[in-house]
Amino acid sequence: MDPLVVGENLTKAYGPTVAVNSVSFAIRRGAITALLGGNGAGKSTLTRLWSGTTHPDEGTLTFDSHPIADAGYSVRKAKNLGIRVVHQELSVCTNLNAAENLFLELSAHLAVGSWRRKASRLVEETLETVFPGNRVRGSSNIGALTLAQQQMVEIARAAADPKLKLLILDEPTSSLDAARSHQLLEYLRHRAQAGLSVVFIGHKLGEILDLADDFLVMRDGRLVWSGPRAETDHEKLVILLSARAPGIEKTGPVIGLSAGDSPPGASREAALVEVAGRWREKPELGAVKLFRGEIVGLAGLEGSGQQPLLLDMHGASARPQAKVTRRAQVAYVTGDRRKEGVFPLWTTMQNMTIARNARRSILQAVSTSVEKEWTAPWRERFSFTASAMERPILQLSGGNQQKALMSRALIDQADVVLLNDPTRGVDIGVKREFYQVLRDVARSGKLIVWYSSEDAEFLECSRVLVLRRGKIAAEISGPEATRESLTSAFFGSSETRAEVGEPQPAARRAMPGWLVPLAALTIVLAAIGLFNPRALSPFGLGLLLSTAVPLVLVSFGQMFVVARSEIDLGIGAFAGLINVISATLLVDKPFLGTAALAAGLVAYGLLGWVIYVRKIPALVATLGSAFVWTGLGYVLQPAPGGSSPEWLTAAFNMPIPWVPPPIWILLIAALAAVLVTRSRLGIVLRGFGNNETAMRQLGWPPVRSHVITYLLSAIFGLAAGLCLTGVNTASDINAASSYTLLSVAAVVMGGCDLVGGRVEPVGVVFAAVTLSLLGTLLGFMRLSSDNIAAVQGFILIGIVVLRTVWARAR
Amino acid sequence: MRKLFSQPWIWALLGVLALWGLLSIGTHQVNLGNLSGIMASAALLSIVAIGQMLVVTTGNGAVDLSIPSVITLSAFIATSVTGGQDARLLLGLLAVAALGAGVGFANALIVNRLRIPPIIATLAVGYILTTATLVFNRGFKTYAVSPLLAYVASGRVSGVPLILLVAAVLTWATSFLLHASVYGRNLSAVGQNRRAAHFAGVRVEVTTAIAYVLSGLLAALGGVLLSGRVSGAFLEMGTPFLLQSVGAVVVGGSSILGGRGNAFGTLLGSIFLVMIVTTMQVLRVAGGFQDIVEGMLILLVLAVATVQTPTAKKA
Repeated sequence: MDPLVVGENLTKAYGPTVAVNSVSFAIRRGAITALLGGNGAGKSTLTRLWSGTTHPDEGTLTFDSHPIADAGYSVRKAKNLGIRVVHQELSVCTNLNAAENLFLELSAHLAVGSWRRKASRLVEETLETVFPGNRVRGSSNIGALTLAQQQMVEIARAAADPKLKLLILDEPTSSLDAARSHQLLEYLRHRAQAGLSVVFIGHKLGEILDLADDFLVMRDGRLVWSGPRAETDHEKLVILLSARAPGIEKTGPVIGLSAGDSPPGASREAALVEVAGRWREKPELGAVKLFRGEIVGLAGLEGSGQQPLLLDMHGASARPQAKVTRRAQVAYVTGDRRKEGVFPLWTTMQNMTIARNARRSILQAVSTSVEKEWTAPWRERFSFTASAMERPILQLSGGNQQKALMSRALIDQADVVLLNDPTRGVDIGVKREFYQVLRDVARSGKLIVWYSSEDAEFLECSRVLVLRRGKIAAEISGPEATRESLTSAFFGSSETRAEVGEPQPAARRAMPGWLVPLAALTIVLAAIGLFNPRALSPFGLGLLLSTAVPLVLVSFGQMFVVARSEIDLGIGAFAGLINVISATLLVDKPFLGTAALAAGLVAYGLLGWVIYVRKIPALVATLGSAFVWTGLGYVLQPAPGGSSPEWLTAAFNMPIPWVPPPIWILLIAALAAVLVTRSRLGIVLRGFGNNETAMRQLGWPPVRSHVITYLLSAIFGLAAGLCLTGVNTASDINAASSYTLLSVAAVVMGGCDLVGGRVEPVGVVFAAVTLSLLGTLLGFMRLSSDNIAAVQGFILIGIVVLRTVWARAR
Repeated sequence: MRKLFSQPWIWALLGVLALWGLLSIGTHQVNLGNLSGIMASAALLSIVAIGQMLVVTTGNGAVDLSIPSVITLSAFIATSVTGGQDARLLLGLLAVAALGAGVGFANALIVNRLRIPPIIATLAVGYILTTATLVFNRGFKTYAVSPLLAYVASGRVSGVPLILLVAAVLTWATSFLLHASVYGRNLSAVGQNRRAAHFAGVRVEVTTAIAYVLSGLLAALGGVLLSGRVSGAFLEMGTPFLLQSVGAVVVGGSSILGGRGNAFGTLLGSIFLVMIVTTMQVLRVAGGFQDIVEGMLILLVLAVATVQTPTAKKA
């Protein structure tokens, strides 16, 4: 049978870096192909060529005999051909539920009919097939799931595609425990037998040797070996990957100091770190003491409490009654460079010296010559060139960035060095260098505590603490640490493998975001009723709410921008401009007026486009736009005045029994906002607000969605402006200027998150009405209207605090 | 020369020079007299804008929205405490400094401890100050400004506005703080990557709190000087300083995303913005158009000069 994917002499360069260098390969149908290589070997680039994210400079690439190397090939086309990628970074949107996340991946299959139910069924069925016994539902909110469950949804989402032909998995087991990994590997074997081609990228060689049929091994952009499982083994792969002669292979469990030794000049009496007995499975054994000169590993199954313990050590103080006590300064090396490691604007040298600088008093001077002195030993040890030290750190390779972070911790001179999986995704050459450095550092009298996701690294430790379910279950000292002893300690004696992953916690139900604003509104309404019962009659309510309607509409406009994790500081001014246009131009020259309103919408969309394309912070851009809208308003109408078009006035005074016009406008607006939020369009917008990278990888066009977001915002702003005209039958460019900040307040009070794309239209209605009724309430209470702003401020802080406290208590 | 052009404030400098040329050649209406008027207004703006720049540099999307309210309230407090007497000026300054530092501290407390986004925190604090100002305004009767304050705010030493000297000293001190002190490193670290700064041992909360307190203090100083220039206090007098302070920060080449601040650029940005306004006044452009031009200018500068941050190298 002909192969599914064939590449001939593929080359792809980014600037001077040749990421993929004339690579030729074939991927068989119904086989599992392992793609191996260190950081910067070219695996990711090769994946990007397959998935349509980028195109090769040279060479040919075919999928199922279709050429896929041309510029017309895209992520969308790749998906249509049946190619799906599960990326290493989590690519689900945590503000959506599992079914909605499935929709983002499989929108083409769910284009018609009641897609929600279909999506929900499909995601639940697939999850059950791949990971039996999970407790994730289609309606489960992704943000409330564990990392492992999120990863499971992501894998299931790709596997659910009925047209799937090639499934590419980039380190899919990194956040799964052993039982779940096992289920996944079983499933992949099963699907491969049924004809699916799988490409599996990973660093855990044992797992991969068990799984894969074929191997592609890359190094420095070149394919160094390809062949079937039968022709390779662990030893051979290590040599291929590291490009070292076999002689220097063995590092073995070499260790600085065993328990009895005393490092020169260091006292054995005082433990640098003490972990209280409460951390132990058997507290009666007392505290675990960690001394100078040790390399202590924190081992266990993924998520058994290793990282929390490490972070506790970082945050620990010398207080004796704490769970963890630390009696020395601490330095920290992360494996998550982007999130908690590098400072992207700085040079390598500045990145290296920050920890030591941060220890000094804040008014002391920093000097380049001192920094050179500090960095010199590590510059030499890790062989950084002089120019590498002066360049922005992001221009360095991943491995070199990691070396810089290690140097930062060692220049710091702290006696305790905490390692949070620092070799994650680093090639084997750099790893070896690190092992040697760590041994030397321990020998010099520092204490190293090391969490690793790669079990083999614990063989480098002088002592290993094995954690199980958040407690220290065993202590293994250096020479006894073997793969076998570690593995048996991980699982405990009485437990079987399958039990370890169970039970998965069921998804937590979050408090509905509209609850607090509803309570606030009820209190305000009740208070108003107390002072003036007639205010709560239908007529009274209509009167009260007529002033609230424009703010509600502006708040919806704000909400859609907030769904994109941005803030619009121009929307109030825009509503004011619409107010002016509709009360002047629209009355005198209806045609010109309509054209002006349309132009306003276009301008807003354009603003959204500029913000996205030029990557301008929306906050400042919209603040600038506010001045443009206000200026236009002044030019059109220098002083308040104008009149309302007849049809608009009529619409606001339509006699509908029992339901005053403001209330039905409010209901229609709320319904529209809810429908848009839940629609396919709304899901895409919210997806972008939560995880833009993931949305791009799924093939959704970012610019279009950004422009649509701003158009939606403008439409609600337009409605708000028309309402102002209808209610006030006049216009004032400043009529809505206070609404901008109030709308931000309403959106936050209503239960939306400013970052992350979580929105709550119903809550926004309650919050906006509450804010606008405060003036009336203070009036009834015979308090000066001067106090409105302060009350609004306190309510805003109060509600946000309440919500934070609530979230933390859970 | 190449080094000059890689400075973040180069665009602001070129803008200032171009406008100056335009004004002096094109209109024949600019002389040393109104140039020093421009410089005095710009100096006042830059004092406030430097505070804004420090807050913006803490990153996390931070903008200090409470600045206008602090300016207005401190103008009221300074005028009323001083009562037009030089002898009471020190007392007035102390009162205002307490206000500014207190507001900054409150902002920092809400941001750091209650974990509320900076924009919401400073917005809410601004609301509360607005009410405080309104309440203050009711019992407010004084319109006299201490002569010494008026001299500092509007006086000149051999043609150079005194307030420009104040601004220059502040700019120089802030420059030292940002580029040559441990605090500058800490602030930049926090602004670039808050989590990484925490793990590198930077005291994140203290670092941001100092920025907010300095911003509050500088806004308060700005309010006092403004009251000296306009001889008193009135409601909303601080309002224009929100957009203008943010504008000066952006035009001056500081990163609006945080992590990179520049004091000298902020001073140049302030001069540039004030020159734009003056140019339009000289050309007798209607008020509405002035707003439009100012807004478009900010958008334009952002669109053209926003430094596209380098993305992480992919493996």
